[in-house]
Amino acid sequence: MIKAVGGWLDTRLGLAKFARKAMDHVFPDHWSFLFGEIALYAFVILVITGAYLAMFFNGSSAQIVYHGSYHALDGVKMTAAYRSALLLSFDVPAGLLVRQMHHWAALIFLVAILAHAARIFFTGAYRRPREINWLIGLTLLVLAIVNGYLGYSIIGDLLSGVGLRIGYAIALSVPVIGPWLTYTVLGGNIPSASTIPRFYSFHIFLVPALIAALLALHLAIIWRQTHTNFPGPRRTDRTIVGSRLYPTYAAKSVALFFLVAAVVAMLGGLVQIDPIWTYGPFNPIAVIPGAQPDWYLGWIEGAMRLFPGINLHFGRWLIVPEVFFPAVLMPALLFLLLYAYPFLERLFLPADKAHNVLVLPYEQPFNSAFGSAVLMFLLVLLVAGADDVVAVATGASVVTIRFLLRILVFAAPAATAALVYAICVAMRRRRAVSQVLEPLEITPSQTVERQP
Amino acid sequence: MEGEQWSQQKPEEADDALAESASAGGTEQAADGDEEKPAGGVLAIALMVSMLGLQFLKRLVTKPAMEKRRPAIAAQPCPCEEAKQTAPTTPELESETLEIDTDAEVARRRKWGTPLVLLAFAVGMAGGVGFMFLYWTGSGNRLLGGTLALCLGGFGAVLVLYAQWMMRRELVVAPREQMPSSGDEREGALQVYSSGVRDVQRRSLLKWMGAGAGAIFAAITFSLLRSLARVHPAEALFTTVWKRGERLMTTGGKALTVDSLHVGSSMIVFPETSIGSEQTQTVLIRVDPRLLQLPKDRSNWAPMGYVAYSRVCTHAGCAVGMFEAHSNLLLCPCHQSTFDVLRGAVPTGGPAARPLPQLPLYVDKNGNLCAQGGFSSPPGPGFTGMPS
Amino acid sequence: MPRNSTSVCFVFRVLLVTAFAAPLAYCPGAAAAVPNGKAIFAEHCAVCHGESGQGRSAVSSIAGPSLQAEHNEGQVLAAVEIGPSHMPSFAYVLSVPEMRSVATYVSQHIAVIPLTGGNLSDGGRLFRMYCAACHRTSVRGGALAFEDINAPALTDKSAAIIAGAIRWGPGPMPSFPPTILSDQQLASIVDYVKFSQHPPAPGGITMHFYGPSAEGFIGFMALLLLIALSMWIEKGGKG
Repeated sequence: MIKAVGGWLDTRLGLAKFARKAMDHVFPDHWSFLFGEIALYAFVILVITGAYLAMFFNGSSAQIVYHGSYHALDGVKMTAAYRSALLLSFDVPAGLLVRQMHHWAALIFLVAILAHAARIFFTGAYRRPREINWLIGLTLLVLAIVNGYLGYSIIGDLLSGVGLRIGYAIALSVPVIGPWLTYTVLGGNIPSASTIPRFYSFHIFLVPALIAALLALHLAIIWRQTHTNFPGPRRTDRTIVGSRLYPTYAAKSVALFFLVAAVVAMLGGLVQIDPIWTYGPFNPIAVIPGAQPDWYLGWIEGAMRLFPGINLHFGRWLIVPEVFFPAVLMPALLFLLLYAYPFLERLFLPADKAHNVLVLPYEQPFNSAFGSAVLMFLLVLLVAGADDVVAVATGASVVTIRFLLRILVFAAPAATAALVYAICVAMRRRRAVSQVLEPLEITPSQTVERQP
Repeated sequence: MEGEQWSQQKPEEADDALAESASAGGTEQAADGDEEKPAGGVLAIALMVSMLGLQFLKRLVTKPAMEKRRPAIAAQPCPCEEAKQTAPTTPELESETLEIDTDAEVARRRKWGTPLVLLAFAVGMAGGVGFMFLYWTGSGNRLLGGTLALCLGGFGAVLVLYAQWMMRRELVVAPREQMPSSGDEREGALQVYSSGVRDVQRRSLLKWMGAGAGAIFAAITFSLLRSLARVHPAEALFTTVWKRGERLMTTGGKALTVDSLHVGSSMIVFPETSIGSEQTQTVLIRVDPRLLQLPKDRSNWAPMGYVAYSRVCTHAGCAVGMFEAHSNLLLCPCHQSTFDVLRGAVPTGGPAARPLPQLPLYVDKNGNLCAQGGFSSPPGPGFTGMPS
Repeated sequence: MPRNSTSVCFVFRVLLVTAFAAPLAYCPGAAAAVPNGKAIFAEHCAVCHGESGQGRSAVSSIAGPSLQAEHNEGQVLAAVEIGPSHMPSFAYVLSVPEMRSVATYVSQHIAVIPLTGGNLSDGGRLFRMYCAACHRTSVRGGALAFEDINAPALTDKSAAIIAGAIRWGPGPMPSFPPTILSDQQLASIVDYVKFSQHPPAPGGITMHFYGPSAEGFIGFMALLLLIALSMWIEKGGKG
């Protein structure tokens, strides 16, 4: 049967040569190469569940009075968007499951991107010829963060509404163009009637289209360049070792899709996420403590809590508000540094040949130390973003926690970098010693240079 | 000595353009830097930044000197030449398969794999059937999610087990297509492009027209974006609704009088004309008037200990909802900024930098609390050009 | 600590365990099997604190504050025994069981705010406006930046305690007198708090309603699970 269908297609598309090459395409067989695919499949699940949700969700900020099945909000004024979210949660069969799966898939999408980016960074896979994909990948990360923020903000509940107000203040704080930015993109002072509809269209169309396009480019480049390999026998810059796409890798990849979907379904069913009915509808007069954004923005929230109130004046006019530094400048500089990293590194690496074999993390101490420091910095900021939750959970004072974190945000990355650097150098030395005693089996075709 | 693939490469393989900068500082730094232990990550980053600066300077100053000192490196051929000689550009080269399972091994794993795969399949089917049943009988979220997870997980496990037990294991060694194309291919592409360019007449005219069209389209796009803003920011951000003589009202529409609050109480108030508005929400607090330490020019803003401040935090715009009577502090729950009510809501802790705008009050002849005018500064988070 | 009257009564009772009931009248506290707190209050306390504990204003020399906030039985008992400031001590007038019974009566029957006619959704609206800023909409408490104290969780508070706290603002909490919240609004808020102590959680495990921080933590745990699954998929793979 395959022969018949294949023949029919080949007559019209001439696919045989491509199909052969595709089925023979080799993929490496280490588990850390699957992180990117976890992210990819999480995105697929997002699109599928999102399409289902979009059939019920009403992205309108019209004010209506609720008379639905959740009695604690009966007679309360809210946006039509919030009502449609309540409808999904209480009245649509399996609606709550799909809604929760969508939100959990978003969290998993981002955590998988982080793991994938860390794997790429710590093994040096961003080096030539893969700098383009590094840039595309970082852009995908930014787009994913933006889409996640838009997604939970369009519901119009109190928690995300507070987040929208903070987002508005951050946009406003950009020097000179801030007010224009907020009044064109955000539609004005939150809550503005155009915010939810606009964000809804960004969330379901514009940003996912960009993500899909960049993702397709990302995958096409990987296909063209072929994957890297961890160092090992026969794994060189000119040969790739692994399993073929058909049948082995295809089976494993599809299996991963099902398993990611299973984890998302398990979380969607068993662990409650974003219980919008307990927060109530957004009301600009109301506010709640313990208002954090989703974790992938928690680091910016933490920076905003820790950064002291410094602003720039000229006479009696404010030029740069205090929110600009932690919420716009710091993230911009961090991402700029990450974007530029492969090119900055080239200034220090003497040669620029194609790298198709990965470098183990302990073989590149500076790289590992730098990456660990950045991750630790983000972790401290993430904890700082939840400092009032920590205060409530432990009974400590939030003022004390903030003071400690202000010290930690500098001390922890520095200490981590030094520690990781020392560990890497020590491990490298140990491996050098053991190699002298038991040299690797290397065939002549390998291009690994050994210095006497 | 152990070879480090990426840091100890022979200079022959460096690009011509990069040879200078690499040799100018790269090999030296790489040789020394890897053995040094930095004092800390901060120091490492500072080192990196200063080295960057040094790099640029060095390159400017020593370029001719470098060429003299290392002629071998400067004279190295372009990698495309090497690629021309050695790159296997035809992907039709056969790949090699290693580690093939013996037939006995395959049969053995198939024997054990079949029941495993069937078991996983059964779990998947059971989950799927369970989900269908529960869905049609209107079950709760937990069971729906659990059965769906079983279904998906079961089928996922089927595929994993199939790949591990029911497929012949193999390891394939395949050639990689080298990314820089061979010199011939590059030449060929360049030639086609050049001939195409030669076919276009008056190329500079085309360039100028393109620039003109690009400028026009950019202007059109900018104009269309402008339509997104229905209100001019200046109108919305600088005007305040509180006018002289406006009474303070609760959300329920009740006017506030001098007897409304006792010392230590607070209330959310609005101007009569915009009850419930986000921008004009105000917190009215009654404090002991002997404790007030307002600035000199605000000495008559707080009749009988009633003070009113904008409730929109000047940091990031959250409602400053928490008032603590013992310490007379307002606390914003979003980033824990505190404001001292007795001294004009100046920030005393947390990330806020500017005080909450104060609303001057007076008591009219009916005993109602009224505003003398607008806030002392525009309410809400800051922006460039905000008067403070 | 034995009081004179109690130890005398005890000895007397032991001695007269087989005697008539009449001699028991000499020990007023031990007369009834359970002392009548209401009667004791009417006899000894109402003169200063009012018949229903509403308090009397300081017009004459006999005056006492309202007891409607005195929910803490231990504190009432201590006040009766010690006699703080202008209040006399009743340690030599009442027996320990009598003092205990009057303390129980005050905390359970006097210190009560009428809570009828509340509306759940109205209560939610009011709570979100006035209370959620400190206690969160999930009534699980919130962090404050004053004096090392956090707004407590309300999950284990009775309706009486909640109403009392709203009206009289214990500690750093502001008070909401009837000019701010009417009795019916107060009842609505109490209804909402009681409802939110065990809110519907159709979605699954609530993680104490900590919010996005806890959800993010679970996300990281899910990553670890997915990494384990990846290691299973590529078992034996060397990279």
